[in-house]
This record gives sequence, structure tokens and C-alpha cells, in this order.
Amino acid sequence: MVHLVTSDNVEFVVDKEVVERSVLIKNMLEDVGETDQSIPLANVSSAVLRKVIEYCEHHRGEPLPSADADQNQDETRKRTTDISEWDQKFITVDQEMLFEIILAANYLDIKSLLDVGCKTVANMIKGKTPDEIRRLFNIVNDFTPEEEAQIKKENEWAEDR
Amino acid sequence: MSLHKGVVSGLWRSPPEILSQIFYHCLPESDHQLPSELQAPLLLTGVCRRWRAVAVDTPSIWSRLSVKVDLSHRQWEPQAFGYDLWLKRSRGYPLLLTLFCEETDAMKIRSLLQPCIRQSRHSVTFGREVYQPELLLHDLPALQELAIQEGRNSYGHLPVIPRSITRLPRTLRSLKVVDRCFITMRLTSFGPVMTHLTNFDIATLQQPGAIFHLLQLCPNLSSLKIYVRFGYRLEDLESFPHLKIQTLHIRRQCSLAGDLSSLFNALSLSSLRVLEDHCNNGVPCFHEQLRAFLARSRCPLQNLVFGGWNIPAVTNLELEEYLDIIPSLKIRLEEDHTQYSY
Repeated sequence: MVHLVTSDNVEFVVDKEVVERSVLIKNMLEDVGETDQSIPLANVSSAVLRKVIEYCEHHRGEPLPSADADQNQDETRKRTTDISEWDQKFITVDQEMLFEIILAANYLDIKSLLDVGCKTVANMIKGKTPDEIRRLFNIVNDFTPEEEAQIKKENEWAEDR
Repeated sequence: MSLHKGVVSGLWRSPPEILSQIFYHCLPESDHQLPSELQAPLLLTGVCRRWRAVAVDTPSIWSRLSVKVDLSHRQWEPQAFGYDLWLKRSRGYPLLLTLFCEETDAMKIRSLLQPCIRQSRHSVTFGREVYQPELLLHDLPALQELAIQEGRNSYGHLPVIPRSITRLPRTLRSLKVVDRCFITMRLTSFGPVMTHLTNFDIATLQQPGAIFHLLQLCPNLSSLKIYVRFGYRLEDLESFPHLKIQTLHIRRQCSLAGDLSSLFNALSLSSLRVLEDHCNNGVPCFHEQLRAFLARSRCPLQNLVFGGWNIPAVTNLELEEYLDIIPSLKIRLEEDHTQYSY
């Protein structure tokens, strides 16, 4: 079993096979060997880690993506935004939690979870106008009028398609 | 207030590499869609400064481009400016290009592509309206994938295909040729590029012997997808082994099982892992010949798929006999409503 301590100082005791879906933790455990010492996760809160562990538990035993998966991404053209039913249900959380999970997956190096999170956000973006995207994510339109005009000029050739 | 919300939102705090990944998943599924300001990546450049900076700085999202000289209600200059900017943003990333080209447009497109011809890998698909693709194939030294479809008025007469293929670089590994009536003689004109091919997708073969001819010309082929509509009776074929084919995918229109069975009588594929036979009316290949083919090939076949508009009629006994030859074989019968003609 592995002991993890979150940023809000909550300790989790997790099965090694489960927690090793995180490449970061897997590498740590390989470096330090068997230990009873807790691993501090300063960037992850207990609420987020609970979700991350739930994901890792569900996907326990599945093969980890290979190191060159990113390089092959283009070749296999895996842009598909399909997400499995369980993952979809799992990632149906409020926006703040969604981004916290993405940040945690990135920090802990759990590629499949990062993919699920990024695809979910991509699906939220697709089919929306810039205004709708700004409203959805509370993004401020910080372009100057000159920049707006430049963007319009850059993109007008691809209007109405 | 909205500025405050924006600043604290998780998306705002996401590092650029995460935003890049999200943007990558925003790209349209189709590789052949013309650029639209309403879709990624152009859409993403108009949301806010940060998104724009990350989008412009992510070459992978600019690596797929469909080009069409559209003069119906547009000037060429703004289009050329837009395409050029797009290609510059790809900054050397391997390109996947789809080119739609009317007769007089080849030179325009060629000059557009000229600055990026040295990019590490190209994949080019010509749309159905392509004319003079050979003009566009000059100076693509890094081309790895190419798909050519017939032009609108080229039914049965597509001399541009052999003219194009003879000019292809030896870097080419994957080739797709779609012609409603592919003439076997053209294969010989393809030249040495065929030797290096690993993936070949070809339609429409009307002469059964063409498959053998093709296998002879492509000794390194690992995947072959053919669409056949044999207009001739199958001549007697001598036995022919191919050592590298791992995937054979056949699509055909009805009533040709007899001809295919003769094909399987002669062929042996010792590396075959996946065999798919799709027939529009769901009539599978002759069972006896296919069984003999598998036994003769001694191949590590993992998947055997029969498909058609109706579930193919394969009996339980026949399925058991396939499993007798390869016990670990997975057999799938599927209803498949995809295209059976070009």
C-alpha cells in the first residue's frame, strides 16, 4: 500500500497497482523503493485526489499508454473525441472540478485521464462561436479593436463554410 | 467581475501544453474539410489573446489542410494569404494535405505549397475534382502518403494516375487510388515506387489477374485493401505466395464469389493476421476454398470478418471448421452499410 498526502493534508492509503497508473508516483516508488513514508502531493487537493483514485481503480490493470503515444498520435489520427460511457459519467462534474482533474492528471502524469479531460473540454468548445466560448468559460475578450480587425482579416477567407 | 472569474477559472490556469492538447481534440474529425472560421484551429485564434498565442504556437493543429481554389464568389488573393499563413503556422510539422483542384488551378496550388515542400512528411489526398495532379506532385521529396481520386470527367480514362505515380518519390509508403475502372496495364507504369509501398488501397479492379500483378509489384506490402468488380471470368492462376501481407480487405459487389474462390485457390499469405470480405448482398467467399487457403497459408490469422448489407450467411458448421484450423481465431459477421461502389 502507498500513503499519499494531499495539499489540504488528508492522507490516502492506496493499493500500489492502482496508484502506479500515475507515472510520476510509479517513478518515485521505483527510485525510493519500498517505503512507509507518505508521498506529499502539494498540487492536489483531497477532493480531486478522491476522483483521481476512483478513475485509477476503475482502470486498474489496463495497459498504460506507451511513451511514444504522443508521437504516434498524428499517425493514427486519434483525434476522436469519443469517450467511453463510464469515463463520460465519471467526468460529468462541474467545470472547476473538471479543470482540477485535468491539472492533477497532468501533474501526476496519468495520460489516459488527461485525454478524457481534454476531450471533454474540446467537446464543450466544438460548435460554439467565440462569444459562446467566452461565456461558457468566463473568458474576457481582451483583444484591442486593432487586433480584432487583424483576426477578421486573417480569417475572412474562410467565412461561410 | 467577469475578468475575475476568468482569472480564477481552471482553464485560465491550465498551462499552455494542456491548452494545446485541448485544441488538438477540437479539430474536425474529417481530414478533408475546407478551413472554416467557425471551426478549430481558426476559431481558437479569435477567443482571447492567450488562446490565440497558444493556438498560433501549436504547429500540430495547423498540420492538416484542405486546399481548394474557390473563385465562385471569392478572390484568390485573400485565400492565398490565408492558406499561406496556415502553412507558416505548421512550422515544419508533417503535413496532411487534401487538394481539390480544377484544371487551371494546379499552378496556383503549386506555388502555394512551394515554401513547405521540404517539410518532413507529407500526406496528400486529391479530391474528386483533381486535374493535372502530376503538376502538384513535382518536388514533394518527403511524400509518404498519397490518395488520388478520379476527376469528374475522367470515367475510365485516368491517364493522370500513372503519370502522377511515375513521378512519386521513393519515400512513398501508402497509396490510395480510386478510379471507377482501373486498367491493369497501368500498374506496370507505376515504376519502382511500388517496391517500397507498405499500404495500398485500390479501386476498382475489374480484372482478377490484377491482384496477382499488384502483389508481384509490391513485395513489401503489409496491408492491401481492394475494391473489385470483375468484368471478366477469372483465368487459371498459378499459385502465388506473398510473405508480408498482414491485412487483406476485400470489398465487392454481388455474384462474384466464384471468381474470388479461384483467387483464394492460388494465393497463400503466410503473414496474414486480418482478413475481411465485404460483399454488398452478404454472400461470403466459397467456404471450401477459403478454408483450404487458410490451411495452405499457415498464417497467424487473428480476425476473420464477413460483412455485407445483410448479415452474411455463414453456417455454424462453417464457423466451427474455421476454428478447427485456427482455434484462437475471432470471427465476426457484421452488417455494413458503407459504400460498395465508386
